[in-house]
Amino acid sequence: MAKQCQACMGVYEAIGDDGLPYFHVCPPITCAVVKRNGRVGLVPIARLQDTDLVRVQRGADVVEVAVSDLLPDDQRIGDRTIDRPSGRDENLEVFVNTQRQRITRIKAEGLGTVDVAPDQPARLPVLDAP
Amino acid sequence: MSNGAAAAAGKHGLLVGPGFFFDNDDSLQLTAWNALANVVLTLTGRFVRVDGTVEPFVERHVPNTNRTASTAIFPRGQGWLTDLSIIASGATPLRGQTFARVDVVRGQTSPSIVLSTIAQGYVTATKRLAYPGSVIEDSLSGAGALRSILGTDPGAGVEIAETVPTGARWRFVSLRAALVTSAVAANRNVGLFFDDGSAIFAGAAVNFNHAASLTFTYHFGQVGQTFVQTSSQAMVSTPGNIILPAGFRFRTITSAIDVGDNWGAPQYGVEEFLEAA
Repeated sequence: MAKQCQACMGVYEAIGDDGLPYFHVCPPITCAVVKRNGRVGLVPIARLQDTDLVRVQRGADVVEVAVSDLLPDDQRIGDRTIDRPSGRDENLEVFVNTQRQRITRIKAEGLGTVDVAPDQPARLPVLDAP
Repeated sequence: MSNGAAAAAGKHGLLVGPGFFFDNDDSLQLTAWNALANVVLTLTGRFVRVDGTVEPFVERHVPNTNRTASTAIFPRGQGWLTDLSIIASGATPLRGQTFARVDVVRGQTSPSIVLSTIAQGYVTATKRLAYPGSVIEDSLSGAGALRSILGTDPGAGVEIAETVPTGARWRFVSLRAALVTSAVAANRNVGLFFDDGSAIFAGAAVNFNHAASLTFTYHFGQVGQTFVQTSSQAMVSTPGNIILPAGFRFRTITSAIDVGDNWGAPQYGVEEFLEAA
């Protein structure tokens, strides 16, 4: 059964095909550099608004255009990535508690996971034998 | 022969024993690092008691499966360890997935005082680690386990990012992933970058405009040059011999990525070593 991370919505198998556990870590968030209401800053791409101004490479020029006015050959420039708030990191950390016991736990629970059925099984059955 | 051996021999009559002398307070300690489920380590050997009796022994240990160290202590009593070997059973770990170390320790509970290390190296279901005979090996030397891993299928508008797990060290080999772009205007440009958890130190970018509403599969690896192979496939040459300790990442950066763009799950190849420490 695959798992879906509720922080980044990524889907993964907890045990790989080779039998080794897989430790999911959320990817960072991509942000565009925009000018909104006269201020320049980072906005996650999921929160871009049509009226936000972004800088794009248009032919040989760099121009500032509204998101709603982007042309097919424009290339937005200046994107950055930031750490995901409440991201999940299943990698382990080991520490020794006050009773000198070694404790192993995952680094960050994030928003947890849910079990999901993949859109299509990784290994499809052969319906008509050769 | 240690002073303890001389004293024991004087009391019991056996002057010089073959092998490594154990006093009553000494034990064998097996420490293992392992990444594979169902592995059982079997330690076998022979022990010569001070009365001259030869005593074979078998000890078993189930290591952790998350690459963290696990330890078992086996008291042996007084006498001489002549030989031992360790082999994996219950599963078939590759070289690079199960690493073992045998120490002689003073004490019978952990933490104990390590007196000496007599065997250390990777074990498999067919390759034994032996004392005497085997070289004391570092977990980062030699060949690692070649793995093909299915990574996380990112959500829409999210980049691929894979992190080296705790206790592992990877040498990057290759990565294949497909990007489906949304109908939203703007060209995308794809690259694969390596970072230390935050700062990028190497990467490879594709000089190709990935337009809207287009599916393209990218193959990253040491292919010598970057080129668009067909109307739907691109080969991207990455820097050679990229070594990544735990916490380091490789991730795509897609310039002008749209919230509706969708990277598929990456399949990637790495050579994996255990960071036994």
